[in-house]
Amino acid sequence: MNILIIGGGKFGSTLVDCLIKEGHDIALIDTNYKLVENLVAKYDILGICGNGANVETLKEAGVAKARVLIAATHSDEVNVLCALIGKKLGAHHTVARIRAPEYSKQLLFMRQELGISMAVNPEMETAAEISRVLRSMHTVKIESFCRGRADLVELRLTEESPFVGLRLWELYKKFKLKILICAVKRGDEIHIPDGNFVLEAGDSIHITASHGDLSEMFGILGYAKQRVRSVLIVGGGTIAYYLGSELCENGIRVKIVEIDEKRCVELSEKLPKATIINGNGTDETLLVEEGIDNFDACVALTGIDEENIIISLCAKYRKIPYIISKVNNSSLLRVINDDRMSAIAPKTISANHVVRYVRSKQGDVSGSVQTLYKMVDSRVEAVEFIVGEGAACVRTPLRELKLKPGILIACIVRGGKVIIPGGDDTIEVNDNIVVVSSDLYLRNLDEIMDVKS
Amino acid sequence: MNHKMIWYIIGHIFKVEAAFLAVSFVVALLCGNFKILNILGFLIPIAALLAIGFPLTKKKPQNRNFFAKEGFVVVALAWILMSLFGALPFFISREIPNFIDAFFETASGFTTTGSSILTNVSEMSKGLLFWRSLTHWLGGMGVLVFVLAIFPGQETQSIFLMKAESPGPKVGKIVPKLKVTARILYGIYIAMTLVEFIMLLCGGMPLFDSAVNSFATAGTGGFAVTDVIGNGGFVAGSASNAYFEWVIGIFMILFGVNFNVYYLILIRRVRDAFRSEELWVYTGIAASAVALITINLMNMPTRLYATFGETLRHSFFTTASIMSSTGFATVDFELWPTFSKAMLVLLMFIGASAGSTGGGIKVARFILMIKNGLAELKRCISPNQVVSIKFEGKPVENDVVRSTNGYLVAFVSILAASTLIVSLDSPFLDFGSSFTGVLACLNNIGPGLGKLGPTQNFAGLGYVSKIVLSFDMIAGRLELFPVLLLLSPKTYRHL
Repeated sequence: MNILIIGGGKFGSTLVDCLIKEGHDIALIDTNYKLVENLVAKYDILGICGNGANVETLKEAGVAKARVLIAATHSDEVNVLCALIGKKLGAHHTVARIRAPEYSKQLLFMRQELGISMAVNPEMETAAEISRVLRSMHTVKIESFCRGRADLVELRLTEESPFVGLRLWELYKKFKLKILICAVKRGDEIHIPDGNFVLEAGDSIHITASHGDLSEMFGILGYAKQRVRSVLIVGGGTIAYYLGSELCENGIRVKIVEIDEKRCVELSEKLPKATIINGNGTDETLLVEEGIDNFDACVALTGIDEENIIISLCAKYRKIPYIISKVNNSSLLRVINDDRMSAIAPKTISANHVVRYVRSKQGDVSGSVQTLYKMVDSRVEAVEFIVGEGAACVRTPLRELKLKPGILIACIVRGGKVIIPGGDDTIEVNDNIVVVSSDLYLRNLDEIMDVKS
Repeated sequence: MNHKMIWYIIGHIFKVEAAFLAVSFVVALLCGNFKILNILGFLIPIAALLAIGFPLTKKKPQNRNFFAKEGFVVVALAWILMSLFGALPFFISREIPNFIDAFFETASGFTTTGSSILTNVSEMSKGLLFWRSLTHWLGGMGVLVFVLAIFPGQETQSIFLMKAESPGPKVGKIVPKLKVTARILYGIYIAMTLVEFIMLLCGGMPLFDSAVNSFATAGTGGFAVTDVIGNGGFVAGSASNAYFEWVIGIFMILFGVNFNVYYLILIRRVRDAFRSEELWVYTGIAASAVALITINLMNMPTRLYATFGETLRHSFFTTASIMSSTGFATVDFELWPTFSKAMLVLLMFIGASAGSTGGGIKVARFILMIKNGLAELKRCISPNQVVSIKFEGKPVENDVVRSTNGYLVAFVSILAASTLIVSLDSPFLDFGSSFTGVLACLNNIGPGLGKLGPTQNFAGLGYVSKIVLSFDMIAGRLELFPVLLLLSPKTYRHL
């Protein structure tokens, strides 16, 4: 697939790195000659030095044949302009990075009226990711589907887990849980389980559920006691603002330490529920004074990687249960990931979002693929479809549907409500459904049906 | 340096060379050449190349780091080894009894030079002549580009291979994927060769001659087989063959054009294609050279050629041949007036376009140097003036200007040093002959002037001269730095 990326900064180059691995044809435009040359030497891409909002430059980069155009320069306005011009010149889908909070409320307008297919806001997505991780620290990974209504969670079963040794139908019955275990990794084997599948300790399981059922399940698994109730955020940038407002809404106590006084005033106006402290977050005395020892979690979000690492090391020394730090330099990421500390890179999070979007556009003729998520080392795919008119599977109870082996309907979202499907449920037109499959490339909803039988 | 990766790629190159040798072997058999020495001459190198190539490429190395340095070393090493193995058929079959001569001839083939040590080509067997011309074809677009195009699983950093082998100050891809780029380039190359082959065939040239001449034109090489006397290879000496001269002349010019232009035409961006500054300068230089030489020839006291048409044809063919660095000759331009010869020497320096199969300093570099010189002049007039150099409508980065200057310095140094060695080793040459001979080898043209002119050959030179000239040919084809890097001890230090 032809992809055109404008801007080769941190975000742009991360995108190149992710997308080239999936075998796409990538052209990159940047104004910095040195940067383009380095990227071309490192990756098998076409590099063009120039302004991405310039019609000539875009044409030279082959915009007319581009399936996806991604505008990732440092300026929101330039990105929008690139996307607009690119769209007019024939790019099928356009993605623009729009990060300023003042634009974040008009994203819907931009999508509908300006034809920008997707807006990426790294700060907001990072905040959402941190918040998700804080709410479920014991999961390995968590992804959301259907515009955030349904979650897909990866979880490792320990010896003590009450799920171990049960058949799936027993499990669902015993705990009265509306969840669905859609993939199990045991050793190197992948299973798409049916009702008689027995779970064992050491299995890595993938579960789809709504937010509510998920927290209920965490309760059963005994994770409820470990819930994060208070968070200390060091550094009061844009991510801290988004994170603070989301955590406050969820009733979590938030304290933000920020060095700049003006910013502190601004934050206290915007986040009335949070406590804003004006001070240097790398000063341990200050952190102790603010009661760092009593917090459930510490999030280091200053602008400097090294500072964040020092803060999280300090927090680790003080035995804070959960520590997250923002680290953009990927070579530093490896250094600090362990059971309690985790590092998060905004560029990677946003890049993953875009990559997932790009995947969903691959070979998709009908436009019905919404998101595509690869799990278990890319061997299993979860694809979100919108059910169109004339789909073969409509209005038949699931137990009567003849599906190909290795396929599972993991989740149905109808009118904003999440349905974890059982045998009696049906698929209706305009539903969003999530299909999990192993070793198949589903790009069209009708491909799930077993035509031979 | 990543030795394993270097040998892995060289292994692939050996396999490619074995395949091309096998093709020549089949041609030799089809031409009814069953002499035992000739058969052995092909079979031994094929077996050797396969025996080395397959073990080297059996396992892909773990460490796949591959940078500019490795790229340069691979390219230089590959070309030298290729020439060594490619010389074996000539040597084993005893048709060129001396190995240094055989090496010179093969290096001249691969580097698309066309300088020859053969005194009588018509005595050579057809299979070997075919192989000699096939080396032109393979060397023209580049063997590494060929490897990139056909072997799967290319590493991302293989752009360094292409950069090291393709000519020109700035090597770029035409599509995002390097493999696809390589395939497009070879596709265009094969298609153009075929068109020329068919046109020659339709004009009544024998099958074998059409093929061999097409290879030699496509690679801008210059080995010919018909009525050959010396370096030039008189392709079609008599006026009755004017058709062939025009076809070959036009194709020589065409193969000296940057292949990106053809790609742009292919994807119907014709306007962009014809906006190429290099294309216009290239055709401009060629056209003015033809005009000036024609006028000069017409104004000679005793005219060499009877009519204006004939004069124009000869001056066009010779200009195309020299500028595209092919080196075919239909006339002995040694007899031309000094002005015309001076023009030809100038054309030898300039050479073909970047990204073509031709040699020389390249028109793109030439433009950059002229513009840089003019900019320097402006700076002399008002020292604080800010001057930016533009090429193809875009400002040129300082790096490119710097590397162009560096190239020129290296070029002149090698030219001077080689001229000194050759004049010492082969004292029978006058200065003009030795200088233009070295120039013709370094720029991959073929014939020089004087005693190394189109009707002469390089057979009489001393062995040291032949080795130096072989080195010059490979250095010139690879744009100097890869070979210099291979000779520099710093390359092999681990730190």
